[in-house]
Amino acid sequence: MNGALIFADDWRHVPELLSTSASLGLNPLLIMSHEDLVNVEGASRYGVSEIITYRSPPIPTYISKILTHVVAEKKPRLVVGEAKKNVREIFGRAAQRIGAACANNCINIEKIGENFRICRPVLGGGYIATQDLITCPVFVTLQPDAFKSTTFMTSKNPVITSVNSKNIHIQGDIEIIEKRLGVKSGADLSSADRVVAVGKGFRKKEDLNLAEELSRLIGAEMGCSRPISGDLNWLPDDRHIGLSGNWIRASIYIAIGISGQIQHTIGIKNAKTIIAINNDPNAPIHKEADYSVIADLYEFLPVLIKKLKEQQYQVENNNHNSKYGED
Amino acid sequence: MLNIHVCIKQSVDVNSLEFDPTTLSPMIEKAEFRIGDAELNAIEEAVRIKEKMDGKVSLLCVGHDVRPAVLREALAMGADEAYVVSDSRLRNADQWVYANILAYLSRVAGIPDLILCGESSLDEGAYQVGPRIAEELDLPSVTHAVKLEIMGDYIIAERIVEDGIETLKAKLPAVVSVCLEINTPRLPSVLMIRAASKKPINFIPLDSINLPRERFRSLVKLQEVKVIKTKRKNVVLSGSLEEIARKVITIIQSEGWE
Repeated sequence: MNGALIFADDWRHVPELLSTSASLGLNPLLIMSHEDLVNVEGASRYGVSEIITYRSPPIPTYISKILTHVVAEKKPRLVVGEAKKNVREIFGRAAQRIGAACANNCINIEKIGENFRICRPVLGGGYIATQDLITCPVFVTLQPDAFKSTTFMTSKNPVITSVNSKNIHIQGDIEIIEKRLGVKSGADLSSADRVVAVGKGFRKKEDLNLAEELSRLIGAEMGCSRPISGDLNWLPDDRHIGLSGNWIRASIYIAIGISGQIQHTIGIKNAKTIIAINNDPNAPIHKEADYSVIADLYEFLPVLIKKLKEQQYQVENNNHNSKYGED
Repeated sequence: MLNIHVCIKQSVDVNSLEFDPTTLSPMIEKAEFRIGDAELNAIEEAVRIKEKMDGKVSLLCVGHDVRPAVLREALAMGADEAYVVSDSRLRNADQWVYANILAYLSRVAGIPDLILCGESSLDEGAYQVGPRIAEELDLPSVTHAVKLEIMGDYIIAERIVEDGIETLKAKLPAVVSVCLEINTPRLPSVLMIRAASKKPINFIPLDSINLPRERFRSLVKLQEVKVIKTKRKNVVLSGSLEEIARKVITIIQSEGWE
């Protein structure tokens, strides 16, 4: 076989993974997914020939064994999934077992002759490495940046088979004893048009009110650097912008009290206009900014908020006047 | 008595790394080297477990041109010994090669109860070596751990996943990759670094490693590395706070729309 095996940890990006695989000329397309997740109708529109279902708790140590078994049987050239924590762990283990190359968080994938060429962030996220993966199969996890669309897709009904896990020797003694669902903001930062983000320049959690008020006034989503969500827990983890968090594409990005380590700035490289507010003129964020405000955020934000409010008041007043003027 | 192995890597210090303005490639020759951030967290966690439960911490390091001074600093945090394979032929080693040699070193260093890794290295950022070592040694793996506790023959690990926090219970020995959030690594004093010079560093020659030849052959071929350069205006807004605020509002209103 020569095609691609799409490993679906969830089905959110399965259409993009399918169209990316098809655009690389890979055929047939197979999906491997937990049996509770399968969406046959969704898959049939993309010319999927087979859906392979499995049963397992969401533990990479176990799922990697099942994946290794499926790859040995189906012999795909490419095993591809979304760049998520469990997927990376499953792929790393399976690639080691098979003796295959693996690349994570890829922002581009191409086929060069018999090999795959990928691009992915390295050196803290400040650089992009281009690498050739010279085994068959290869394991690749993709960032949304790598998704490609393809126009040619045949519709057919996929065959559904299930993995007989009785034949798979599952080693290891590991179980999930508790799962706490995280506090989620539910915000989709990667598609927000305006983003205001906070960093360690804020001295305490209550002070984030200033940034929240600014966000509300300009209709922006709130984001943050990794220490704010990870170490301090001031904001939910899904608001973290950077190498291991969201990569934004906002038309306006305002960084407040963020120093601008490269692990953060890779997440803002696709923002159109960047405004940095930081009282340290040597903070690296200023090099990444279109406009820099070198001022104490505690002095500047109240002034900015006051001006915005005055202006909105004026706009509302003008609207009010013009409405009555027309009468 | 617990035997803890910690896999560490000497990485380019990415925050001081400069790039060549004509080729846009990183100037690795001029860079400084240090142990990666997440591996410092792994050493710290190992030392904390040792302080609580008694044990031995062995550092495992694979690379090229590994500098004893970098190892001394890691040992000074409280590790007991280091096993090192440093060879110029490993310059282009990928995660397959690293994992094969680290798994070998772990066998040389004695049977571990726990192997700790960082979630990803500072320079390569591959997110693979922990799971690859676990597979190689047929052990359970946990990644992105933010809290660890040893309970008899088991390790209880909290890990961050996209939709929350999982608590896993894994039989020891296990391979655990830790996050930056798990702890704050201690900074060894000059005295401690000096005292660490008595701790054994075992350099193992690459040629003495008895593994099949294909286990030293990279499966990934690097084509190029280029800096991400986004053209920015780099304008510093000047004037009183009121004037700057007015300028910021104009920018938001005029440039904010596609």
